[in-house]
Formats: sequence, structure tokens, C-alpha cells
Amino acid sequence: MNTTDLLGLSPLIIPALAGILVMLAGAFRARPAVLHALTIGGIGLALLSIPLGRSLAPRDLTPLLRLDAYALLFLSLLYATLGILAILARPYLQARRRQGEAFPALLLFAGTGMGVMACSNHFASFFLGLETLTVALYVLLGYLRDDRRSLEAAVKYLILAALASGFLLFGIALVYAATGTLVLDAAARAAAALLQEGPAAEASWAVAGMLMLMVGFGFKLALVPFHMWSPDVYQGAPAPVTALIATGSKGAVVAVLLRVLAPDIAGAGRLAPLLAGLAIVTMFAGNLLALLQTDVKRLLAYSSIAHIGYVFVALAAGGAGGGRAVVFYMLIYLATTLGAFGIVSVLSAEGDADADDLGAYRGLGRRRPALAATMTVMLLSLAGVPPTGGFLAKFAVLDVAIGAGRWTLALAMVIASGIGLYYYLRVLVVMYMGDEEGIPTMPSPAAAPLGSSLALGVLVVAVLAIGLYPEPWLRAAGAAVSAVLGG
Amino acid sequence: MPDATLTALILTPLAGGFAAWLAARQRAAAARWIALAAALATFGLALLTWAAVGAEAASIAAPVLQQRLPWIPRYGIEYHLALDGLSLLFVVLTGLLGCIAVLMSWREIERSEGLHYLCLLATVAGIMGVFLAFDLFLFYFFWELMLVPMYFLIGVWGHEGRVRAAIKFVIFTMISGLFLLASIIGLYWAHARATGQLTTDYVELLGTSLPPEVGGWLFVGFLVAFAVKLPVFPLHSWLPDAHTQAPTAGSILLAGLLLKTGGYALIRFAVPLFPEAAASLSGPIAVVGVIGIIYGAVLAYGQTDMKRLIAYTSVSHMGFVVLGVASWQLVAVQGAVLQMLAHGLATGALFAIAGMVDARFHSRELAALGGLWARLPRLSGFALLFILASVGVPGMGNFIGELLTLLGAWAVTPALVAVAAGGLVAGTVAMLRLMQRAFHGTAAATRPLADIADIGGREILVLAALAALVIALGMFPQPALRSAEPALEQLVAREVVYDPADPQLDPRRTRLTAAAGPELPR
Repeated sequence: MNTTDLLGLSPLIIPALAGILVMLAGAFRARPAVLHALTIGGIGLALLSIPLGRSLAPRDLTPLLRLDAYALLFLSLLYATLGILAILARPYLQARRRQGEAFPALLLFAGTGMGVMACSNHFASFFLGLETLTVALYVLLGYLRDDRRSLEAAVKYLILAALASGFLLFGIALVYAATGTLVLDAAARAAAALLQEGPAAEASWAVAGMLMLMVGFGFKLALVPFHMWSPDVYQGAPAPVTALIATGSKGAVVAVLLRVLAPDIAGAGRLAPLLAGLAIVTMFAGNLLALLQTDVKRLLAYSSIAHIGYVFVALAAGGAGGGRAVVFYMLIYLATTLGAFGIVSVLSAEGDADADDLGAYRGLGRRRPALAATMTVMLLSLAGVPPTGGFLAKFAVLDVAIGAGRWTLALAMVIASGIGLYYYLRVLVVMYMGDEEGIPTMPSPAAAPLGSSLALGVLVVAVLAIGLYPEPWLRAAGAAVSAVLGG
Repeated sequence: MPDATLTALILTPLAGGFAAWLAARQRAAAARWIALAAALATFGLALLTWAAVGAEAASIAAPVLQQRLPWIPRYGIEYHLALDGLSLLFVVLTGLLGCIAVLMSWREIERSEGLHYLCLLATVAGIMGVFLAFDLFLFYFFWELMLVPMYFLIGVWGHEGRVRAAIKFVIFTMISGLFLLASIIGLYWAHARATGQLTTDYVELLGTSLPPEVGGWLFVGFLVAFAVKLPVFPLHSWLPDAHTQAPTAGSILLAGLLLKTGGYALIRFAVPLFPEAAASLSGPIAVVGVIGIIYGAVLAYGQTDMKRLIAYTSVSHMGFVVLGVASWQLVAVQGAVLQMLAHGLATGALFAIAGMVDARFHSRELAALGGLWARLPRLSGFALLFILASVGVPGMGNFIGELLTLLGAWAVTPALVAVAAGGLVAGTVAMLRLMQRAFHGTAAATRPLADIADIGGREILVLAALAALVIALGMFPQPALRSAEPALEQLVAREVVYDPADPQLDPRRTRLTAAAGPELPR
């Protein structure tokens, strides 16, 4: 450990320090505006420190953390997500008179946890990062402590996240038993080699370990059949926290998942049948269950289940191209999902209850043209329609699936996303095509708060820019993945 | 004529749409004028292109106008627009019907006018892109792009059952589109494996040799998408709903242009890219085409809703296009192209007339109409003209289209041609029933007898322009035929390849190959 290492660690240290600073400021009864400024400043500084890390990469910072192009890309994505969430959360909390120091501090700690996960190259640091994130989420989920549904979401998440942690730990232990190392890339390489052609006993340890890990990841990513918790938690949680679970939390988990699976994906692909099975079940269940929802948060919950299914199509297709498609997909998924939940957040900030019923969106196209247009862009991107980024993401996944000759997977994805079209269209129908008389006469302020508008504007531009000119993003995703997968 | 004209053809309506949208916040009337200006500018540009290009016979591989820029080099995707004589005809049609659609929205649209013109012109831009794209990825991009604004046109400004119709339209077209996307990617990889070169370029892909089974499946993916759009018989069920429920401008764009993208894509892409598969499936395709001719005509006869009746006759008329394409004889394909142009004009006009009737009587039910000739002689006169055009009376474009299609297809499938000719009679009966019930006979008792004016200047302008063109196309089809002929000849004879000595192509090829090296799958 020397000064250079410390410099490299600054993207992780800054949010943690900012979190402590926010707590201290809260103890001295700082005004909410000051707390907010500290939060945004902390995240902004962390983002600014990432180019610093770029000059050092690739570099091992302690045996636990690895700073490479892959980690840096995920750090930028996750911190950008976090910053936008902090901006969107403020009016929401203001409306509920809950502007303590706890929320921003916890958000920053969750950010630290995600950052550690993105950089982790060791099962210990991965688990530490995950638990930092998860513990922060427990509190954030139950943050509206007078709201029964918020508490219910927190308890549900607590139980299932603990279960997932149990599976993960057991899996880590088994992989360690089989391979004799906890360093992520080495363990993953050894496990992949064992899966391919190892002595029977150790291979079965490795198989059991990888399966346990997949169950743990499955819970965190809400893969079917480990998805049961997600619609309830999404629905009950405060809207900005729902956004955090759907975006940042999943993004960080995928970052680790790809590191764990990388040797197998790039090599023999022994896990491909498992991944393909999970992908197909998840895509279909997510999309079919979303058809029935009348609650926007639940609908988006099922939609994001389906989208993780598409990511698994790329994982199952494998190769360097598959890895690149995974990262590219996540990039667009984060921007789009954040945008969709951002609209829910902004609308929720205007009333006492969260705007989760579809009815709250009736006639939005007439009442709030800018918000409705933003939501339209996000929904089209989720549905994968040009000229949005979602289309390119879907193209990238289909491309690797078909390029690898996995026609069954590709056709399953085509059919599943065809089903998915229907519920995205339904939201558009409610926003634009309702009858005149059904429009609720809720008090609508003239415009969304400036910060939220700017944040959503950035997301719209990002989603359209990626859709129209994806080359730089594809290149970034490719460079990041080659740090992990080689080639 | 600079090559950038092609981009301008797409961007002019799009920019005009956004300008109209922004202007509508100040004054709704401004939106209309801006939209009209943009539509006219687009049409003017299309005509200028015609004047500059029309006379020159050019090969598909080296079109008169083309624009190619790297877009997503990682996938070998280029922003490649090109205009040959075949595209040119549809580009001009698109420009014209864009103006007609704006003019027909003038009074009809009462709410969210700005958004309406944005959707309308964005649809026109997307359709323009479909007719100009020479890269399969770009083609698909526009193919999907035009659906979204059309969905809003139907769903927001349509009639009573608009939401259901809009959703049905999108579900049908987008799901079939996803199969098209999968097929495009499949073709792309098959080509990459065969040549070591990643590209979605249309001309490059034309020569791809495919194992018959692979080619068959990929062709089916293309066919499904285009058959839904056209529509071909069992996949047509979205069409009557969408055409009936759409506002007048939406119906004009749907019938006049959107259906044509399906026929154009069959001729441009599906058959030339998979000639063996297309040849082996040509029998069944011709049969469903003929079934469509008869089925559409019979169902049209049973309709009581004016727009629905016209919509079903579209199914019937598009059956001729399918028959022509299935036979893949030069004359028949020329007939199919002409049929599409003439149908675009005549059916566009008929939907405009239905819109004018609806604006006056607030009804499209034949039972509630009748005896219009006495009150609205000018409108009824035009209606008679377009109905005659539509049933294929000599002297008008549709006749030439149907005649050439039947003549050309006779060489391949005389029996089917005989049946199809019989279908013409059924279509004629259905159309004459429309004329008789709505415009002749006695006025229905329920009809409001308030003072209803005959068509005015704007409406006469629309109908007269279309009438002049339908007749011109019937009397002098030669310019249109000659424009499309070189391209069609090359497509039918399968003689489209880049000249290997063309200096423009060499650097791009090597670059792509270099990029493709490590990408090829194991």
C-alpha cells in the first residue's frame, strides 16, 4: 500500500468519507440543502476521481481490489446512477417531510458498497461490498417508517437477502474447497477448469459451489424462480429506493457475476445450458406476469426481471462478444430503468402516496407533456424500438446469440420481447389515448423541480444518443470486457 | 444533385414535424402551415430528384445518388442510402401523399394538433427511410421507426375503437418485425462465415450463397414481416381495424404508403436475397396471393362501414402484388410496382373521400348515407372516378398494373391467373356496391338534412391532383415503367454485384475484414 494505491482507491474512499461527513453535518443540524450539496458533491468528486484511476489501470490495489477498465466502467455507471438518484430523491423526501441526514448518508454507503463490488477481485471484498450495499438497502427500504408497505418491503428484503447471502457464502466455501483460492479470477479459472475436466470429487465440489453461487446471484438479480420477492419489494419501497434496487444493485451484482463466469464463458461454456435455461424461464415469466399488472412499479419490476433474462441470453451465448453484449446491455438498462423509475419518483413527489397505480398516469400526455414524452422514450427503449438505446441493446444480444448459433435462445427472446410489447404499449395508451373525462384532476404543479428535470433530460439524451450513435459505447464496453475476458 | 439530398428527404419532414410541434404551443394554425410547408418541401425535393435522376438508367450497385458513411463499424453497419429508379417512384409517391395527408388533417384534427403533425411527418420520414435504405440494419431501423408515430396517429386521433386497433397494429407489425431482425442477423452471420467479412450492406449480401435449409428459414423470417405489412391473406387481420379506426390522414398513409413498404421490401430484399428459397416457395406464395384477391373482395362486399369496405379491397388489390412477386417475371413485377403506385393514389383518394363524408355526416355507415350525388355532386363525381380507377377500368393506373401482373404471371401459373382474373369481378362488385349505396339511391331517412356544403377548394385540390395522377399513370405509364425497369431487370436477372475495381469500395473492405478477424465465432 502506497500513495499511488491510495489515489487509486479514491473512487471508493470518497463516497464513504462523504457519507460520514453527511452524518456529522446532520449531527450539527445542518440544513437539508447543505446535506444535499454534500451528497451531490461527494458523488461528483467520486466520479471525477475515476479518470485518475484510469491512468493507473490495470492495477491490483491490495489483493482484494482490482482497478481495471472493467471496474472503472462499472464505477462510472454506478456512481452516475447514484448521483441521479440522489437528485430525484430530494423532492420526494421533501414532500414527505423526511429530509434527515440518514437517507443521503445511507445512499452514499450503498454507493460505496456498489463501488467495492465493481472493483472486487476477491470473494471477501465482494461479500463485504455486497453486505455494505444490502444493509444500507434494508434501512432505505423501510425509510418511510409510518408506511406499512415500506416496512413490509424492508422485512421481505431482509429475509430474502439473508437467505441469498447464505447461499453465496456456502457457494464461496465450496468453490474455495474445490480450488483452494478466494481470489476471484483465479478461483473462477480453476473452477472452470474443474468443470471441464477435473478429478471427479473436486469437480463435484466446484459444480455444487457454482450452483450455490448462481442461486445467490439469482436472488439478487430476481431471476426466475428466485424472483418472488421483487414485485412486492418494488411496490412497497419508496420510489427512489425502488429505482436503486432495480438499477445500481443489479448493476453491481452483474459486474461481479461476469467476473465469476468469465473463464467459463470465454472457454468451454459448461454452464451455458444452465444460463440458457434461466434466461428462457426468466424472459417468459417476467414478460407474461407483467401483462397482468395494473401497478406501474410492479409492472416495471416484472419488466426488469425480463430484462435480466435478456442479459442471460448474452451470457449463455458466451465468448468475448457475449461479455460485451452483457456490459452494453447493462449500460442501457441502467439509463432506461433509471429514467422510468425517475418518472415514477417525480410523480410520487407531487402527492402523498407513491404514483404507482396506472390511473395516476391517465392523460399524462395532455397534463404533463414533457414527463409523458420522457416516459415514452424510456418505455420504447425498454420495448427495444429504434431510435432508442434499448433497440441497440436487443440487437447486440440477438447478434451474439445468433452468431453463436443459439437459434432457440434467439427465437425465445424474439417471442418473449414480442409479448413484452403489449404492457409497454398499455402504459402509452393510458398516458395518451384515454378519454377526456377520465383524467384525474390532481393538483399538478407547472413543472417538475429543476434538478429532477435536468437529471431526466440527461437520461433521455443518453438513451437517444446511444440509439443513434452507439459506436463509442460499444467500444467502451468492448474495452472493459477485454480486461476481464481477454481477447 | 448532391448525394446529401437523400438525407434531406428524410430530415425535412422530421424537422418540419418538430417545428410544427413547437409552434403549436403558440398557435395551432402555425403548426398546420409549418407542416404543410415541410410536406411540400419534401415533395418538391422528391420531384427535383426525379428531374435530375429520372432519365438516367443506372445499375443498383452504382446508383445515381448514394450516400455512405460509417455508422457502427464494429458490426460493419453503414449509413447507406441510395436511390435507383425503383426507389425513386416510391419516394415521389411518399412526398405526394405526405402533402395530401397534411391537407386532409387541416380541419379534422381538433386536439393536440402539434403532436399530430409531428407524428404524421415522422411517419413520412420513416417511410422515406425505408425506401432509401441500402443497408439492412438501416432498413430495419426505419422499418420500426415508422411504426411508433403511426401507432400514435391511430391511437390518439382515431375513431371510437382506436386503442384496440392501434395495439393490434403494433403487435402484428412489431412481432413480425422481430422475426425480420432475427433473419437479418442470421443472414449477416451466414455471409460473415462464407466470406470472413462482417457487413449488413444490401449489395454485398445479395450474392450470399446459403445452404438451402438456412436460406429457407431466413427467407420465411423476411416473408412474415413483409407479408404482415402488405398484407398477405392470413396475416391481414390488423388491417381492417387500423384503416377503419385511423384518422383520415392515418388511413391515407397506411393504405397509400405503409402497405407499399411491404411490397417494395419483397421486391427489393426478400426475393433477391434468397432467390432459391423464394423460387421453391413461389407456388404457395402465389396461392395465398390469389386467395387474398378473392377473400378481400368477398369480405369487402359484406361491409357496411365505408372505410372498412375500402380497407378490404386493399387486401384484394395487394393480392395482385403478391402474385406478381411470386411469379418473378419482369413484366409481372413491373405490374406489381405499377399496381402499388396506382393503388396508393386511388385508395388514398378513396380514404380522403371517406374522411370528407365523415366530416359532413359524422357517419361512415352505408345505411346512414345514400343519395349523396344529388346533394354533393362534386364529391360524388370524384368518388365515381376513383372507384372506377380502383376496379381497374382502362385509362387509369390500376388497369395497367393488374394487366401487366396477370400477363407476366401467365407464363408461370396460368391457372392461378385465371382465378385471379375472376377475383377482379368480385372486387368490382364490392366497389360498385359502395358507389350505389352511398352515392346513388335515395337519401336515408336518418340523415341530418341541415345545409351540408359540397367540397371546397382545399378538398378539390387534393382530389383533382390525385385524379390527374391516376389518369396520367393510366395513359402514360411509360415514364414510371422506364424508371423502375433497370433496377427490376437486374433484380430479376440476379445481376447485382459491386464492381471489384471500384476504388470507392476497397479501403472499406479491408478495414472491415481486419475488424472482423477476431470476431468470427468458434
